[in-house]
Amino acid sequence: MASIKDTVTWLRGELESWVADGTIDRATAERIGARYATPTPSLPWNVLLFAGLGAAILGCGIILVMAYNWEAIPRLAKLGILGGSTLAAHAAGLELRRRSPRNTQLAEGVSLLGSMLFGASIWLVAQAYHLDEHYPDAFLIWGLGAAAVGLAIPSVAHGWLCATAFTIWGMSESADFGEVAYGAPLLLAGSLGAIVWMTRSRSLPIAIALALGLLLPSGAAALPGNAGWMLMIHYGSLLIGIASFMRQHERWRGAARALSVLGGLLSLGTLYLLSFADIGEEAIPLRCGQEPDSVITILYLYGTLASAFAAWLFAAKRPGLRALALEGRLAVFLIGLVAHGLTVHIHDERDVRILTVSILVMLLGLAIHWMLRGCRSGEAGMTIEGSLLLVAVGVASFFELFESLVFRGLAFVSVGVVLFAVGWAFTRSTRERVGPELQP
Amino acid sequence: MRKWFQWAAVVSQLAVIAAMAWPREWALRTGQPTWIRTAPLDPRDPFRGDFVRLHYDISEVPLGSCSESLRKALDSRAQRKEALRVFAVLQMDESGVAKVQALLDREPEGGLYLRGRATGAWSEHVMVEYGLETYFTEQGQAVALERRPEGLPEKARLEMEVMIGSGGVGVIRSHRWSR
Repeated sequence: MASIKDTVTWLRGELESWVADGTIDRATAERIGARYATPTPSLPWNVLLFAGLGAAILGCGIILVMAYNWEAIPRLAKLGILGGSTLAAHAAGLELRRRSPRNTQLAEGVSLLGSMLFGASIWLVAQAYHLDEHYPDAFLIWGLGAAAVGLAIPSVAHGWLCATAFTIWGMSESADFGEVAYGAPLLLAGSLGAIVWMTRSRSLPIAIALALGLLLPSGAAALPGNAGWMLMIHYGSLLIGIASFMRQHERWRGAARALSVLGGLLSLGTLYLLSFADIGEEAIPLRCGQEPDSVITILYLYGTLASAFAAWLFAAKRPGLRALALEGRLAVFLIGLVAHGLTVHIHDERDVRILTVSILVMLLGLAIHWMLRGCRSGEAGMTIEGSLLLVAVGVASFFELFESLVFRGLAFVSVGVVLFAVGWAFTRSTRERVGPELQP
Repeated sequence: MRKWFQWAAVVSQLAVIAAMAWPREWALRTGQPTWIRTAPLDPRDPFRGDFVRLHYDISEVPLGSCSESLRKALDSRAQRKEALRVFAVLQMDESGVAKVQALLDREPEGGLYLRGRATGAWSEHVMVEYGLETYFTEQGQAVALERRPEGLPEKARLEMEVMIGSGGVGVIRSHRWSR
């Protein structure tokens, strides 16, 4: 089956031929053409794949070859070869870009090879001088070098390399050293955000979303007190806020969807976990001065919350606050705020109980809102999201709310009945919207 | 203007590599050769190839060799679980191998010393890392370093030749087995 883009392209060709043979006039052709959006040029995936991935794999191969550590080759000769190759690859990439602006993807691939060789050089220096330094720093330096070139060119491929290096840096800090690389998300957002701004890249926001999706859970796990949990919730809200703004622009609609899904998973997923008493008990409020680096952690946490708030204010200008509220996205932010407020007052088991029940009730409300709104507007995605959230709340309440097997069973029966009702209501609503003439 | 930015970015990558390599290369060329006794442990690294992990005799410094100010600093740092920059003043024993004469929290004005990080303090000694704890070799040779070569007495130990440059920067140059 042909895609919509192919069909629109075909239609435009046909319109030209109809005008040419006099079937329709130019004004009619333009009116018909205006009904269908001009397809945006797709990314040259073949070139990106061969040039970008090829450069990345070639660079990795060189790193692994250098790991053999030939003693017959003098140390300075190895460094000279790699340093010279780095310079040559960058020079070739810049020259290729200057001479042939059409080959920017190929030029980017060659420049990316230069930055891969820069990474290989870092490891070679460590090997040649037997350095036993803090190894995540190598990924930080590599990412900064790639960011510098990526911003100067500007280059999308370097943005992906940056995202990879900063993610490995942050994850290795928390996994191997129990430290939180506070700068990793900021560097990611700052450097990649600037490259996105300059290149209008549609793929880099997805790189940011993927990198944050890996980076944040690993970093949050190393944070003391409730900071990790709250950070995940507010980061999720921040991503949904940014996505709400981005989806107003046709170019970034696809990336906005990815950010929104990731934000929802981070925010609602964390809230859902906190609705279990065993986990809720761990959300002990972090008090300034009780833990090492608590001031930095608290500043970081509330900085994220403030950023999320700013993103929502910014987003509210375009689709409007009412639209955000109706879509339930604003509710995710507000539920996160309420949960944060409740964790601050945890002192005993009763407070944990209040937290878990409150979260479950708020999630239940959001699920019902999404299902009702999805059925009324015929949006299958929203209806499914609401239904899945309802099932999740049902499972949580099975474990957390009811001791009696009868009530537990009734909770499941209720969820099942509601899902059947939603299915029936959605089908009916869709049938009414399509119109009786199209029904079989 | 953009062209200048692009070349500045490329040059910055090369400058980083040079800044990492230069002090070590300088120490290798002009530093004072010093032998330090060590014990090799298990090797491997995906990015840098085979290596042996080294634990030096001078990695465990008796508390009695620490300066008073260092002891106080260690107490406060221990609460914050942070590593502390230290300087190990070295002297040679009768077999020409370096021993720690004193461990300070300030850089000495002269003499032979290595810089390191105190990573933990126990009741009788301080653990120090000098950034010399890995020794990279050509593939396949690291495993051989873990075993004493045939014909050597049981008490033979692995000793690393470290070139010590200005500021106490140490760079491993070679190794030998004591007899």
